[in-house]
Amino acid sequence: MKSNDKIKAITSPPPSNWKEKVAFRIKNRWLEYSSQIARRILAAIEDNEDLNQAKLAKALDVKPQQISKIVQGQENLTLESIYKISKALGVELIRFPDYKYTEQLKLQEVGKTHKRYLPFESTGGTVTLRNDTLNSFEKNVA
Amino acid sequence: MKITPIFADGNTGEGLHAVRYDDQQADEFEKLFDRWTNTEYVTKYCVTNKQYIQSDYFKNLPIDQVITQIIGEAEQLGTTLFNLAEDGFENTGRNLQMLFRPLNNNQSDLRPLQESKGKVEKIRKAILRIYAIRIGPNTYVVTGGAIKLTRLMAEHSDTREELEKIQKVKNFLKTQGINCEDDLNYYYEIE
Repeated sequence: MKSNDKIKAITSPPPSNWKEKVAFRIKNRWLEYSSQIARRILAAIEDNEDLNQAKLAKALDVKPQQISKIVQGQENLTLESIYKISKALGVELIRFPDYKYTEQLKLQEVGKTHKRYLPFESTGGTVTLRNDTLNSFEKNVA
Repeated sequence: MKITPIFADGNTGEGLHAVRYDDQQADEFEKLFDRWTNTEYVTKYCVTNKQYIQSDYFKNLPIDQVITQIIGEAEQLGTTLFNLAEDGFENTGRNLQMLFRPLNNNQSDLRPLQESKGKVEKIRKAILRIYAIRIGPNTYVVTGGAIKLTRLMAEHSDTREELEKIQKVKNFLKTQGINCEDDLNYYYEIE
């Protein structure tokens, strides 16, 4: 058996805090969203020569430590905070996906129910009728 | 240098331990997960090392994809070890040897004080590594870890440093007379 002196010589005092930190991450899955926003903030700061974390903190009237926690992906940001940071950076930090009412609104903008195939143009997932084609169509059905 | 128990059986001493250097407040294991779950650290690490991500080894993956994978692997490793810590080893059929492998891919046998690595198994090109010394089938001492962006450890300064750390810890354990699980059990104060 090793002597008490040898044992005491290399024993570490407080135990690791690792387990509590992991438990927190397992329980709080919103941290994934926090990380996504943090990356975009870091990229926006990197792209702007006149901006750094300290200046962002000043623009938002918060302490630099707050910005530090945000870019580490550890903050549970409110929608208001995300909005304010977006405005301060001049970039969109979150985007909303299309959903069923988005598509219906686009069809209503076209305003026609087409039984024949007509030329469409597609831009970024939105389908619209070309103006020249719409004008021609209106003449033919008038 | 000291050894901190991460989760270990109070009677047998088997479990996961980690090195804590004298000038550090946290042990090497806790430091690894602090870094790997810190978006700022991971993002800046990937940007600084983008030449490795743009290499043939990583097929020029988008940096954001690498960041996502790193944080995802950290979550998986953390959860796996957390579950081991919570459930224990008795009657579960699980042990640390399921997570750790010999560091040298040419070693198929298990040896005393073997240099070992832990990673997420189900990902073809896992990025994160936990480096440890194997004391027994269910007893490992973590020496450090890395975000491994190269095929070989010798190809990056960070992983080269981890190789040096493993050797230092191995020598330390030898000088302390620790060669197997029973020896490590004697390193904690009996109240």
